[in-house]
Amino acid sequence: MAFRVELLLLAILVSLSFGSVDSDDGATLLEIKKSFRDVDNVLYDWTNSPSSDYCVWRGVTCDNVTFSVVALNLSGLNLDGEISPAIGELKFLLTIDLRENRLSGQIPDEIGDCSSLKSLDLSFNEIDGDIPFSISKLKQLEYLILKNNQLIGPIPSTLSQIPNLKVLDLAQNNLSGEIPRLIYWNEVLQYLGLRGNNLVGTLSTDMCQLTGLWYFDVRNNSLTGSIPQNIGNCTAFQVLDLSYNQLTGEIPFNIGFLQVATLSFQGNRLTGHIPSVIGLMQALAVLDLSCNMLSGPIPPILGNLTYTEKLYLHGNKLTGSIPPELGNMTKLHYLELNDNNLDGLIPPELGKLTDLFDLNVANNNLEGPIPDNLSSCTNLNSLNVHGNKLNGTVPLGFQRLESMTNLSSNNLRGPIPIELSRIGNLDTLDISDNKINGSIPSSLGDLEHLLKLNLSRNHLTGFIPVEFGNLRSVMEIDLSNNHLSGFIPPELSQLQNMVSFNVSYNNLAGDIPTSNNFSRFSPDSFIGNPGLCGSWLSSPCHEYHPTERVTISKAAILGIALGALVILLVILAAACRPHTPAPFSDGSLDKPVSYSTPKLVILHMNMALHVYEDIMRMTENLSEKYIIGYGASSTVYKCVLKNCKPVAIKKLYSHYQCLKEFETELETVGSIKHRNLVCLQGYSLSPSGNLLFYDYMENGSLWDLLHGKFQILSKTASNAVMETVDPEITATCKDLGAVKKVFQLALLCTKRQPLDRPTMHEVTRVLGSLVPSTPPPKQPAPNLTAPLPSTKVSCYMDEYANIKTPHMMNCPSMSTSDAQLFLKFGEPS
Amino acid sequence: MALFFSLQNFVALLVLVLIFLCLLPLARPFTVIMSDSSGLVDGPQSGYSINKNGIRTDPHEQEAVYDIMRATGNNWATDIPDVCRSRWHGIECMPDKDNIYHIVSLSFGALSDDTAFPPCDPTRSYISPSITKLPYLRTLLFYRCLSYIPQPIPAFLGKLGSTLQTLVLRENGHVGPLPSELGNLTHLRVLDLHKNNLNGSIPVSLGQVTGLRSLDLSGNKLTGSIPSLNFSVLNILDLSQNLLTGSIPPSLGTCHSLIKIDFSRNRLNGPIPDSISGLTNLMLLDLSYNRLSGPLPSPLRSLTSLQALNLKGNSMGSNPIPSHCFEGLKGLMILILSNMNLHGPIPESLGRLTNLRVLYLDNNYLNGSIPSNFQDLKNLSELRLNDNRLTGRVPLGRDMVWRMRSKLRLYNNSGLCYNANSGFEEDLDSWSHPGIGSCDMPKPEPARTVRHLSTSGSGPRTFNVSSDAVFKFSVFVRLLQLTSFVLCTLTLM
Repeated sequence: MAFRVELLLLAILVSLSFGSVDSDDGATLLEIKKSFRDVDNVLYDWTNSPSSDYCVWRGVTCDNVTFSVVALNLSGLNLDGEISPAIGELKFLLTIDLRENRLSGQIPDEIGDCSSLKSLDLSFNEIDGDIPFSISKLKQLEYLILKNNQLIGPIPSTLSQIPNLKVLDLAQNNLSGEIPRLIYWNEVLQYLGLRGNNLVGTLSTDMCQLTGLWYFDVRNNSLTGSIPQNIGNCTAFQVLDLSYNQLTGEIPFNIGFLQVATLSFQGNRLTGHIPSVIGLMQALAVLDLSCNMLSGPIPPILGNLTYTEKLYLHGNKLTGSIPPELGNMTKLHYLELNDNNLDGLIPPELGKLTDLFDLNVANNNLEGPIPDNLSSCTNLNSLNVHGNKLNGTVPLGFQRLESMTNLSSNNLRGPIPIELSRIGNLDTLDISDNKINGSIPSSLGDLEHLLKLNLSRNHLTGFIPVEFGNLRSVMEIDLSNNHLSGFIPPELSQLQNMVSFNVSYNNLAGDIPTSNNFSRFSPDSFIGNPGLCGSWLSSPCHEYHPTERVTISKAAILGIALGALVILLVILAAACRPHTPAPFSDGSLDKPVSYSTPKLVILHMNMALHVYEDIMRMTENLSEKYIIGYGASSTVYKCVLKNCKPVAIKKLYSHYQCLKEFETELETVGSIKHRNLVCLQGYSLSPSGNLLFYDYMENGSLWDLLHGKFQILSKTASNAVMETVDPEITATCKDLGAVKKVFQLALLCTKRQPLDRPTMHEVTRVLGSLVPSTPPPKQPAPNLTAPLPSTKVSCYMDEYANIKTPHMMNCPSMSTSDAQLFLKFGEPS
Repeated sequence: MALFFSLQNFVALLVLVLIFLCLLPLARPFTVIMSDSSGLVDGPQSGYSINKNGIRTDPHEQEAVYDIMRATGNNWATDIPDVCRSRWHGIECMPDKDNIYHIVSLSFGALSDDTAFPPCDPTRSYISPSITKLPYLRTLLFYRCLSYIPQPIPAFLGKLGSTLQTLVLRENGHVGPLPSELGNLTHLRVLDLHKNNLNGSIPVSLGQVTGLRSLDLSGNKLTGSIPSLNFSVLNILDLSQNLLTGSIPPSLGTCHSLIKIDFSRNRLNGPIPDSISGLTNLMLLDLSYNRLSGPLPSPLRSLTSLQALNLKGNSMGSNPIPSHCFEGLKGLMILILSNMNLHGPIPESLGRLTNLRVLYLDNNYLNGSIPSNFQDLKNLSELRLNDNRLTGRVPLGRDMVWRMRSKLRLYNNSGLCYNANSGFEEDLDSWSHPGIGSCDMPKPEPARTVRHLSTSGSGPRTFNVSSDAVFKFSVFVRLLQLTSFVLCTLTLM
């Protein structure tokens, strides 16, 4: 007996001592803090001092009575490091919210010990590894939000043992395997977000057991098979997004029983007809069946969908004519029927769609005229009828059109109506490849917002209007393959934003304007004009038709040649004189070389509406207060432009020695578009220095990341490189030595001093030495891709809104993963 | 509203639609008509399709709905002139041939912010007997409605037998036994009584509901044994977290459609019946925390669809793991055999389950070495072999060790060691793998007793411990050493 009492006492003693260690939530919180990195600035009040009450610490909420921690909200604090296993000690936690940080590592097993947990949100981090089994032990869990991480492995079927799960959002990870049928057997699940993973297998008929679910999203996976025949039983669904998978077969007839607001099947391989019953789904706001292999006609009954705002049927094999009943879809904003085999007329009834914003019927076999009624679509912003057999004349009445008008590749006749020039906001006008005749109305020069003008391949005659010099925003002008005559108006050289200009194959004569702008256009822009003479040395005019230039005397030629030679020498002398070795610490130099007017060369559309003066005004002539950083070669300023994304301005410390070379290089750089590269938007060679304009990226510089918080370099030094490499690489890559080498090479390329960095030649040599002699089989390398800086979506309704706005692309092959695109980019051409 | 077409109906429907398409002017709304046994017209139902002309709710049903709404504190509903026409979330109606609307679905309770079912006033809600006046009711859902006033499941629900297909009374605060009248609901497909306070035994009459596809009685206080089961279309069977006793009925093996069996956290005893081999569709089998006995049955191997198997916490008697027990389970991803008093070696066949992601064999008496083919379990993300008597070389490659990180638990074994040449040591965190050294070096002292007590199953911490915590920890360890010392002394006395 005494023995038992002793035992009991001991047990109490043990449990007490255990309790004293365990129930100290403050100590546990400090443990959790330790596994974060560099948090002293954000978690400064998490201290060990005796006076500090952990219940008032940032992000901590305690129970009023027991003082145990019930909520941990550390979202959006830029936290680095990992989630500590100590979190399992906080047994009374109801809420963990760590979203929008930079946490890495795995989800600790111990999270399964937080047995009261109702909400776990780790979204928008860099967490890897599998979803731990222990999460299935959280029987109170209602919200499990792990989206936008790097989780791998299957969706555990044991998640079906969480009885109260209401939101399961695992979107944008690298999850693989099949969707476990068991998670469909749930009366309370409201939201199932699985988009953007690598899920395979088929959709189970059990999915309609989700009797409480309103949001079902498996977009952008690799699902195969057909849409379940009983899909109509999913009567609770409001959003059904199966887009960008590899689904085959026909759309089941019983889909008509769904009461969804959004139905997205685009980017699959669906065949057969569009079932007429879809016309009965009157709650539909978005119907997207685009980019499939659907055939047959567009069911006229779709006209019944009077609540539908977006109808996307493009990129299929639809035949027949466009039903006039579509004119009854009074709420329609987007109507995309392009890239099908539709024939017949464009029904004039479409003119009833007064809310229509975008009408695209391009690349069909449509005939007849463009109906004048379309001008009643007073909100029409974009019209594309490219690639049909339309005849008649260019319609007159589109005064509200703002962005794109593409009437190209049809059989339109008659002249360009003067009325077009009243569409003041037009940014694209493409009437190319028609049978337009007459002259170009000079009033087109009033379209001051025009970015792209294409009148090529018509029968236009007359002169290029001098008024084109007023198109101050224009970036592309193509007048090629017409019968235009006369000179190229010198006023065109004022168009500083123009990056493409083509007047080839006309009857133009005279001299090509000699400004900088024009010298950038290749001879291809001017060939086929027997009377046109260029100032470049290989001009066909000089080589083939020297005698035709009767209007200029030989003396004049000599004079011009001599003058050119002198200018050339001056430039050469100025540009290539021996440079001063020390880099300038600021941009205020002695006289800049020879540019009189600072120009802004725009390489991409984003900055199109801005001029050099605007930028100088907004940054108060690059005032110090706009400085956001100093690089090895430049000072970086931030400039927030009107109506577009902020730009980062790099002011180079040293002027380039050869301007030409500099410009050529910049244009090469500017033409590169890659998701991992910050896009060069433009440049300017100005008195205040050579300026480069980039997209402004948040999160500071790469150098800081490498050397500061991650301390990758010190890890390299201590030979622990593999800690920073994605673990998946170790699973897929046999030769870890090669990985290590590439890694080290990459680090060399990021050395602070340019001189320390290897040359491109050295880099290719090293990489070449790593490549095995036989080309390796092309495998998708799933973790080459870092997640894109995603738009941060705070609530689910927002996400829903996002989904209602599908991408406006012509059949993008969304099934090719980012990794494949990356590989493609990396392939030697 | 589950709709199942026969082929004939489908064809008829198709023809009808085609005829309608031809005959009707397109501007007029129309409905697809299909009759089923209930006499209702099935068709795409949405708020928009209800024509204002001539359609109204059955007046008797309307009164019944008013009663039911009043009983849940939703008096506002009585102001609605026509409950079907002004549809709210949580009510669904269907017309019959005479264009009279009938209520087919009613749902109550705050399921979530996104689903606005009528809420329940927790202080006075009850289920009105008027529910029996809804002869077309197919779905009835009450969620967290009556928790303040515990009341039994009303026996009158049994009168809805001819139509009711889904009955969900989830976390609804019901007490008392399951009424045997539920057996009258012969058309029931889903019965969900999760997390009430129901006691008594599972009524035998439930066996009459042969069309059940999902039966969830989990989280109650049900006692007695599981009755004989004969549900040929049952997919989901969840009886977990009750007080059920007795053995697993062999008739379970006749429920061929089962994909999930969860009997965890009961007091079931006896062996796992051999008849279980018939459940070839089963994906999840959870029998954890019961009192099951006997060796693991070899018929387990015929569960070819199995993805997750959890038998944790059943002291099956000191048996070894049968070597061919898991042979056919090629799809198995989760295998939990912790705390099962298992003896003998780890069978090599486990190493052939290459889809395994989670393998727990901890807290047993397994001895011998870890089979060398464990290095083929490349997908493993969690491996627990701790608290056994394993010896010899750990055959895991460094990539596996690295991938699992702290989810690899090998501590508290008799003498595991790693191969010095494998590069294992540079990734192996000495904190998370105490007591494991290089095979070429002298073995560290096994400290089984102390470790076992000190970690009490939660494993050692992997975070860095502050000096303060170290101090506390060492005091604590000393205390435990004292304890074990006293214990030893006591046992000697």
